[in-house]
Amino acid sequence: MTDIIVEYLYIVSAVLFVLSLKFMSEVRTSRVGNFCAVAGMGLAVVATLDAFHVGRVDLLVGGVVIGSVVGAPIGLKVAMTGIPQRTAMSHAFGSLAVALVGVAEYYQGQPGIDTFSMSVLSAEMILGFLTFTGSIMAFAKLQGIVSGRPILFRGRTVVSLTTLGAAVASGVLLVAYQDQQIILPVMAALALLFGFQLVVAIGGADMPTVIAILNSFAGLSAAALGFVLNNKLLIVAGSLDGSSGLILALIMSQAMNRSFVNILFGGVGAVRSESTVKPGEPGKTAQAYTVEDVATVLGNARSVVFAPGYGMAVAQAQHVVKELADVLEARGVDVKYAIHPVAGRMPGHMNVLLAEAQVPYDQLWEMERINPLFPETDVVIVVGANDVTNPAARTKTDSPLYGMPILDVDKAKTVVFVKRSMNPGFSGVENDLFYNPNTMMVFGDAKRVVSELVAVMRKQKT
Amino acid sequence: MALTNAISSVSFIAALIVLSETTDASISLLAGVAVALAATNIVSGFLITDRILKLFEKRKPKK
Repeated sequence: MTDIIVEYLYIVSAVLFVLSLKFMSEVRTSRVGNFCAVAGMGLAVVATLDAFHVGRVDLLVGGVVIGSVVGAPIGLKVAMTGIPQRTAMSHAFGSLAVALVGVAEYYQGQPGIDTFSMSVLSAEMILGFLTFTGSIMAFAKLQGIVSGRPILFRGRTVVSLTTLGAAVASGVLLVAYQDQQIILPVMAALALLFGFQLVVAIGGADMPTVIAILNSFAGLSAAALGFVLNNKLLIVAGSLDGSSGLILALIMSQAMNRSFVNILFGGVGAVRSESTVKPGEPGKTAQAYTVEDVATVLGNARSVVFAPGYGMAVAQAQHVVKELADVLEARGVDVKYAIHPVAGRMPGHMNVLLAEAQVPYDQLWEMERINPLFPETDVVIVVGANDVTNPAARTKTDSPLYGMPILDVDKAKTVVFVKRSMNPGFSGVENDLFYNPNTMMVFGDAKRVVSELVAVMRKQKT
Repeated sequence: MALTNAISSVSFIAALIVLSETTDASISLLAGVAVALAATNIVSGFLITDRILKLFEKRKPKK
């Protein structure tokens, strides 16, 4: 096959990738989207194999076999709640692959690589290696191997920025002194260290944003590799991935009312929760209710909205929530789910979790659509969410949450909070909604409380 | 995002190209490892995307 045909095939597969993302954006056509992406990838691989003659077929076949043996069980078995971890892991694999290809390309081409390619190659390797350790850390935190709390120490920003600076400096040196092969391992080690430092300081609730950023990094490094190898498909696909990750990260940081820099270098959760929290402030009392009380209220409700959050995902309570919804629906109650943009541990994760629990897609209502409906809602049940319901975001200009878009659950006739304790949410800000006269607090593990509620409701006479 | 993961595995192609360029054993090995890593992502990425999408699709006939 001639080069020109390969280029055309690459363009076709790039178009397929773009189309697949387009189809993906709508539930109706999303499976077509996945098919397009598979086709695009297949075409690209065939074209490459044909245009470049791979000498070491053993390594190629071996790699593919190992990849399939490892990848298939991951793809088929991972629980839906484990998707964020798997995503982190795949960022780690992907970025390591890109970094290793970069290293191989350097050893292959040096010392005759032109300055432009070498600069891009350095940047690509730094990005690849830091994304690798960063993703491993993200995986460890999500999986619970490492505590999700941000680990902070005085001057850590200086330390990590110095590490990054040193990595970039050695990258520059490598461009200047290509024949000094010793620089490469130093640079790689510094980049690996920085990736670790970057994510170790980030709290569990910020992980969704971090994953999106890492996704973007992995994509960018693939695009950079495309420039080095002069491969247009890599550039296009890498940029697609890089920009989609970046856009997601921006949307999410906006939804949490935090700047990018603040998430990466803020370590907010750890700092604020010590200073601003005064649970049980005198003069304000939250009313604790029993499961039976809630069941009585629900017994008279005509419309119920669930507001699930991070806590529901942690307690894995989505199935019992769906059970409760079934009980209510059987009585003719209108049931909806209010989805905040950052609910869950990854963008769109809450939708996936609820879909797994067999919640019909048309009952999922995004924030903008559900907010106008709250005043007509009888009962809102908030399961494992907090900050995203805090009215301070609308009213208190001095609150750190001010300006953050929230679910207006306070406008409903009754709000039920299922929570482990009075502790504030991730932001460390107290939620005044707890003290509202029409708020019912039910303390306990989300899964336990909701399943008790189901049991009581079933016994109730209708 | 599971899908963009799979797409970003076009680094698989980069690994193939490097594998074709070199005759050096250790460089080939590096590229071979990259092939395995990228293949893992491609396989798991597409499979998981498909599983997620099936979850959403199952309910459609009801409506």
